[in-house]
Amino acid sequence: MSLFGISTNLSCILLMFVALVSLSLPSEAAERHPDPDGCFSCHALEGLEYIDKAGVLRSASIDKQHYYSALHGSVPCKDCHRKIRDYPHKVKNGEVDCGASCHVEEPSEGEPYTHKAVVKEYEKSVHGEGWSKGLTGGNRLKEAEGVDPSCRMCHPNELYIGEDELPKFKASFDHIDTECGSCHQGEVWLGQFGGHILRRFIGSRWNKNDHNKMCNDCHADHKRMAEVELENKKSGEKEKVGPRFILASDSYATTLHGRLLETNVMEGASCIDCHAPKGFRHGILPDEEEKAATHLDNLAETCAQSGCHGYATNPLNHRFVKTDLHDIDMIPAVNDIAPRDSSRLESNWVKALIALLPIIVILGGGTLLWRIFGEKKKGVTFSVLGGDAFQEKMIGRKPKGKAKKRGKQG
Amino acid sequence: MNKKCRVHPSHGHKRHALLMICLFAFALTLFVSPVMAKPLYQEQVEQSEVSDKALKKSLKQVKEHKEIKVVDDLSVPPFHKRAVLQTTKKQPFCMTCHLSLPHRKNERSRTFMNMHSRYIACETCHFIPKGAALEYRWLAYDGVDAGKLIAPRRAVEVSVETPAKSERKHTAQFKKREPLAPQPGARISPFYNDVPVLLFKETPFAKDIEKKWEDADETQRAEIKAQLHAPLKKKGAACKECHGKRTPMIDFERLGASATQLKAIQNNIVARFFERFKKEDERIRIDKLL
Repeated sequence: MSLFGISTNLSCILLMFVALVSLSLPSEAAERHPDPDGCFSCHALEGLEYIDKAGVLRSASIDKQHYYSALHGSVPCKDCHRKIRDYPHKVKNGEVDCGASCHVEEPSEGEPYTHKAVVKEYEKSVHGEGWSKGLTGGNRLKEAEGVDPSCRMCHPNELYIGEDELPKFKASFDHIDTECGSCHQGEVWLGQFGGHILRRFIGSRWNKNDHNKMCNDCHADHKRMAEVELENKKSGEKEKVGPRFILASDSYATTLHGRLLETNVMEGASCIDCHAPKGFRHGILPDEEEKAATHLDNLAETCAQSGCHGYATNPLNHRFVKTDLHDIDMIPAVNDIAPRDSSRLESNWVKALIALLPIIVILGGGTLLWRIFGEKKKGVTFSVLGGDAFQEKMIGRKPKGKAKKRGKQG
Repeated sequence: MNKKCRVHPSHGHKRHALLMICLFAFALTLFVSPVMAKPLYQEQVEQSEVSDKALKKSLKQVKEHKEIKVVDDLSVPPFHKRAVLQTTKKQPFCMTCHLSLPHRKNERSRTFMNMHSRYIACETCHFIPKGAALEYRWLAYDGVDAGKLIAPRRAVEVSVETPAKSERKHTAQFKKREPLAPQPGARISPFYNDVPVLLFKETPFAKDIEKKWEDADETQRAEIKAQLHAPLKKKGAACKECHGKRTPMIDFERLGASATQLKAIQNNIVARFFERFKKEDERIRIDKLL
């Protein structure tokens, strides 16, 4: 047999030589061009805007510098907008699926990066009916009509280091230009890789208040929450939520957790610390579901998670987990949505009032009776009963009445 | 003592001559003063005659018109960061009816046309009268000198040093070009005899039209609309009028463009790409752009 007319042995030697040479040559890492498809030829232009049929202000302009310094800065456009080939773009071709894998390699494993696992967790969660695919610039209005949040609703393409965090970052790493920059030059490195790595040194990407803000963007919106319908497990039908759900953000704010975080004391628990403490923190489930972190059977473990109420798992403290962290009775009744019906009678405030009622009646009634029927003395401002003793012993002066008497006697 | 003040006869002649000179100078000023002249667009609107066909078309448009409420506060934010919509202190008369982003229908060109409206007056593309040589200059729409002619930015050629390979790879993309506009909000606008051709919203003519429109019924509105659009062209100047020709419609050098900027305008890849389209509904592969 021959290969191109050369003997088999010789061809084998040649192939081995080629393989050896190619292995021994320093393989140059593929240069990562952030815009391989030339999308920024147009999309980097400022002012590519129009108003669509529904009146929505649409913009095709992308702030290039922001994009490269943002979370998706190393992801080429077509990794998300996969099918775009032509201009004008067909809307369908630009649809984004957040659960798809992209061409960026996850550095530790060398595998294509993907949000698939997060999307999977999210799809099983209470918010799972929200959009994780089919996202385009044009369907934001349609999406806004729904109740469940989509990926982009909570996660826009934000900077690695937010503008408010930048002074802190610069103060901590004022040497990056000289130290890191001697090898890693250029703004892209500093903005993207530098930001990605060094961000971890000044804290996680989001703190607990950022988490809460994300939840409150929807949950503090009473009007939006009033539109939510939840499935009744017994009847299987969807029903409008009640005040407890609508006011969940308000009731949380009255708890110690909420109040601690409000004053920037990070010991308080954020919404997802209790509702999605594990996994990718997207798996919020209804309280009734067995796997839910807020299910009665799991509450002890949830409360006892790292750095929190460790004693909650002790059987002697079993009542601790029954503390209602969304107690609607903590919200002032002046709130428009708070109920003003018989459901309020079950409140602990009412129970406490019942317990204290006899004392209130006795003391209040006694005071009233004394006011009406009690002996009134002119010039006496202190209590008749024990008033003199109070003046003599506590204030250290002679009561007026006694002083007058002594004066007359004298 | 009571003295009578007498005027010498020769002094009287001098005074008379001086008065005549002053009057003549004043009349001359009135004649040549650009301040007093009407904007050419207004002049043409007032002179134009509307055909029955144009009137019929106008009436149809008035009847079919649907008010558009701009939505920009959706609960779902845009994924990519974008700039806020630009507004200027002075607003053109066109915006009395048209949206600030007026191009909406043509899927292919609307965004690019609206982008141009950031630095080009509507009349630059849509008002090209026959027999009147227009000059294109910078007109301030914003700032303290809003509504005034402004001088171009001095063209500066920046010598760019060749950066190191690594630096070139990473930073070249962020080098911002020197803007051609002398100040934010300035627009290239047509001038006729040193007078801006266009009108702003607050001019008496514009206000008068606005008032008439409010009081008018559909037929009257159609007449007003047709009259206002009579001197205008619906289809503006083609891209190549500025981006392709060696002698473009606009003298960019006079507007302060450097040789590099001029080259960038005339050899614009997007404009060249647009020239490839032959049919209205055609789609072309993007790689042809590169």
